[in-house]
Amino acid sequence: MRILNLKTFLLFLAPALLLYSLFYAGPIVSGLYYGFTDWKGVSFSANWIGLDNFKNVFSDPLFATALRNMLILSIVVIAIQHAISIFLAVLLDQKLRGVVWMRAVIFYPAILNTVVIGYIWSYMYSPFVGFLPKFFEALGLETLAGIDWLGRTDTAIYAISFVIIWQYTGYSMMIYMAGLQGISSDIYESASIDGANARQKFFKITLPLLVPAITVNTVLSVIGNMKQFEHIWVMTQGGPANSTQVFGTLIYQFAFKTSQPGYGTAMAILLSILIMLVTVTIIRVLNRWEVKQ
Amino acid sequence: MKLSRLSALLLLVLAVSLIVSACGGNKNSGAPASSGSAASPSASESGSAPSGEDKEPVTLKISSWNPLSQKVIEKFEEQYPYITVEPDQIADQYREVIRTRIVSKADMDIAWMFPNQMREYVDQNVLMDMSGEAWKDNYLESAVQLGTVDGKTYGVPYNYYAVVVFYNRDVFKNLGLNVPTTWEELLDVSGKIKASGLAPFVTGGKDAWATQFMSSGQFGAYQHKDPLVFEKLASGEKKWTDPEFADFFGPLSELADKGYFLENSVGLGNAQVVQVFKEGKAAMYPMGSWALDEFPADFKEFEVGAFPIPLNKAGEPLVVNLISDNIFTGISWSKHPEEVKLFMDFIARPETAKLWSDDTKSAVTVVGGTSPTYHPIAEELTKSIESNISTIFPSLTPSMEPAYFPMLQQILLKQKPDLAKLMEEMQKAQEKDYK
Repeated sequence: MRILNLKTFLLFLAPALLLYSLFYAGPIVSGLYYGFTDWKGVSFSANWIGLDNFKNVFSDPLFATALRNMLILSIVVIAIQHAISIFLAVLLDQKLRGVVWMRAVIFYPAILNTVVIGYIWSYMYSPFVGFLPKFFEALGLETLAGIDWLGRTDTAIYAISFVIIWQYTGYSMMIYMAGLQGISSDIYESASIDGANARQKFFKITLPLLVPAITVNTVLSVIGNMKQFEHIWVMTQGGPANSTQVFGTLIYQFAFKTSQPGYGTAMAILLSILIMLVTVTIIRVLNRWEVKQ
Repeated sequence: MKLSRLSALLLLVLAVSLIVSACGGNKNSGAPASSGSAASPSASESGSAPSGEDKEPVTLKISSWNPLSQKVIEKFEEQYPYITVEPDQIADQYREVIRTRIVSKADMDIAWMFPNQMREYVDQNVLMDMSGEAWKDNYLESAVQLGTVDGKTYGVPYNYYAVVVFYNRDVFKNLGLNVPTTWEELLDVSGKIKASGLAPFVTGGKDAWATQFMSSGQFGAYQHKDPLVFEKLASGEKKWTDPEFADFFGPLSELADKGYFLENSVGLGNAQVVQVFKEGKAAMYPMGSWALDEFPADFKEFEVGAFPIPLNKAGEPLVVNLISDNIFTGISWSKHPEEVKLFMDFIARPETAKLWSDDTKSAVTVVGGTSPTYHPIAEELTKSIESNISTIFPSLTPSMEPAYFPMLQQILLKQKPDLAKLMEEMQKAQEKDYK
């Protein structure tokens, strides 16, 4: 009976397992293989070149640029986006008039198509036709109005970060609100009785009990920013002068533009390993901070 | 328990049949790659008579990045009623899309190729050898050369464009300026425009390819001195660090350092640049003559003109850079090789070419096939191209552009990079593509 059950389980498992190996496991394994070859992308013949691709990745100056931009994106976006979204979540968790409508407005950018957002913002930033220069001009900030935000190596990556923050703040706010609703009102009540003020309640109760939501949000953002591609591709294509290259744009460039998919694959493997390491570290650290209710 | 055994058996049968049919489907779609070439001789035997009254209907798929001439297709279908042309325009990321299709041996008949895709795809037996076709003689020799790899012809580029500077004629008239024909004259003209308070040039930076013409414009001169210069670079016989290329970035860098480009324009995409030029914020805009489309007959803001980019120093000849990159090629596993050849033969006729030229508003590589009326300034432009030496630029090898274009951005951003070092980096990129 037990053996038969096992067989039945396996039978039920087989179709899904087969599809999974065909469409996920297979490509992952073949990708691993091609990362060690000089595959040109058209023929099926590829020469095994060992670790050459990986060595070249580390000596490629663009690798350093991509790493730097990945750090900037992750740190800037996470710090600012999460500060704002926690603030908004606490604010819009109150029973106020029009609160549902405001939540919807803030969440709205998250459902827009990223490519569309990229094009809209390219125009918003443009010093000739854009909204932003006109806005700064109206405020009398002439120097800011004259800046070509996406056309300067020192501002482009931050201009892009701003768009990402704008797009995803509502999304992480929703996750924080779900977290807030899981905090029992009894705790706040007893804190009030003990004489805690609003600030103390926020830092001693709300924030510690939000850590699970912070973990989820941070991991999602870190992964999203590490594999960033769309925003950058649409707004700057990695330029000007390679200053906004990230792993996503580099991998695309090598794999499809310059007939070096072997090299691109090697970079993709490194990126996957990097994402795994960072994610595991973040989860470990944040888990330690978690407080049981 | 019996029930579970029965249902498990049923599931097994279902799963197996699903898998088998899925694999079978795969095999069928994968097979034409090998069997297609085997089947083609019989198809061509039966299809030797070109008139073809009682032929089986054939659909020819033609992939291109720009639209094909609808009028030419209609004419072709009129002459061969059993053939239907299925235009397949891939306007964006053409290289990448077509590569994916080629790798998966998709159902294709005719496809445009960029010149620097030719060798790779010839080596992989992707393209149909058309060396024996009579239509070759109808084209400019330099055009046929572009579709020829190791002595065999696999296709021919069809439209051609010149690298030019579009200019605001009204500004030139008001300041009493003449069209420059040497580099010194161009600098002089630019200086006077700048002194009048207008930006002499606008070029973007976001679409890095659109910024290349002040340096790529020299390819013509290089080729004029040595017709095989790009083959020699690709094989390592010549190096980008050789003294003859030392001034490659010179002109662009001189214009940038003198502040002749519109301020704050590095973040602009090409579409925005055109807009800025049309609004009269800059007097000149270097681009390929395909941008004539941007100035239709009803464009009335100012009178637009175009002249070949004079990168030649006084005393040197002005070499016009022609770009001709849409190589019509037949795909080797096409199920309709005979019809592919019929189409190639049809477009090589001068009367077809003229129709195409008028319809697509551009010049055509078929000798005598360019319509003189495709654009209001076409005649003037054609004259200035023909009165100078011209060469067709065969395009750089694949690893070059990703290295080369960001350098242009560095120069435009006035980062003042060491130009000799840039040439070293060009050479490093070139070495990745050594044969």
